[in-house]
Amino acid sequence: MIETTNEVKHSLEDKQLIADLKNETTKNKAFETLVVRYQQRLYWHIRKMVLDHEDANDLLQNVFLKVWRNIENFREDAQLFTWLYRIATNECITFLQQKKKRNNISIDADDTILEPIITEGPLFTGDQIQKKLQLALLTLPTKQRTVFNMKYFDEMKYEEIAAVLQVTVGALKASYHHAVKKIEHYFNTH
Amino acid sequence: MTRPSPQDSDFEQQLSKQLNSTAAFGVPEGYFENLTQEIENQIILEKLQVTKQLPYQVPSGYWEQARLRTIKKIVTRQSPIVVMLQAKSTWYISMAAAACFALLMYFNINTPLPTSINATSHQEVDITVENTYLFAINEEDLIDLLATSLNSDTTNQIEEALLNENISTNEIEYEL
Repeated sequence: MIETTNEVKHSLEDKQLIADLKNETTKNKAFETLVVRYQQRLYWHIRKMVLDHEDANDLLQNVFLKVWRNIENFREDAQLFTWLYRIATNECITFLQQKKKRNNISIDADDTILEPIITEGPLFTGDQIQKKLQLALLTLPTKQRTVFNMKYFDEMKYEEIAAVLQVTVGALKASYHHAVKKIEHYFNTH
Repeated sequence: MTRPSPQDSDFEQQLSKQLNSTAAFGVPEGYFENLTQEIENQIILEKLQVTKQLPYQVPSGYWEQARLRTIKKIVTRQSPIVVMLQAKSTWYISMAAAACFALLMYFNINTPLPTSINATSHQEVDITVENTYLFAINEEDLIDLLATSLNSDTTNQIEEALLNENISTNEIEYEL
């Protein structure tokens, strides 16, 4: 019940925020509020995808830049946070595809190209199991990894993830189950 | 403790029939089909002893500066430039283009074109030609080639000279 009340409150706050963002006189102040409200959630969503802090920082700024430029076109048929997550997810997927292309790897390949960030990166502080989980996640296709991150780490509902990724709940459940099975297999074989 | 009368039992059955116990509550579509899968997911992840704690850090002081950096980059820096360019770009560009054109025209008119060739600026160079190509040319082809590049009088003179001096085209090819 408390959760539902908070959701309604946030939804109303977001509606006001969108209205302020679309108004030239209040746009700057509203944008500041938007950054404060969503920067950490978006940062960690992006960081889990690209792993490197500098890349995550650049992508986060790109996301806010796109919001700033396209807020007029936001039709409000989705919630603000869904729209933001969608922009961030698309930015990450494009970034990873470009990274693979630069390294002559098929864009459909898994994300094991990011392994050095976990094994050698200075901002990785996890223990052996956390490290193993992150390495296991890199063996998943990018979209499956996104689903796992949103469901497991962000504890988002299937319906919310479905709205962000624009897929059906049934497909998401199957995708998450496959991801868990692959992680189990990775743990058993490494 | 009193036993329920047969009448009470009938009433309960009737009530139960009228009020279907599950009718008032719904479950999402496919809920029971996916329930086993969902539980299995949780058991697997618990067995692996993984945690939801993320193993990544951000540089110290990052969040204190992140908000200002983002806003500064996007709002305060970008919008004035956009406004300024939109307002003034037309006459700036026109003026710059006109000035460039005038300068180009000025230099073009005032720079004299070369009227003579400096004799010391060129020299003779021996050209080596692969003979293999020339051997493939027969006498008629050679005459045709000369005929296309020289006028008819000159061609006749060459043919006459070759006949008078009794020089065969093979000798010419060899010399080349």
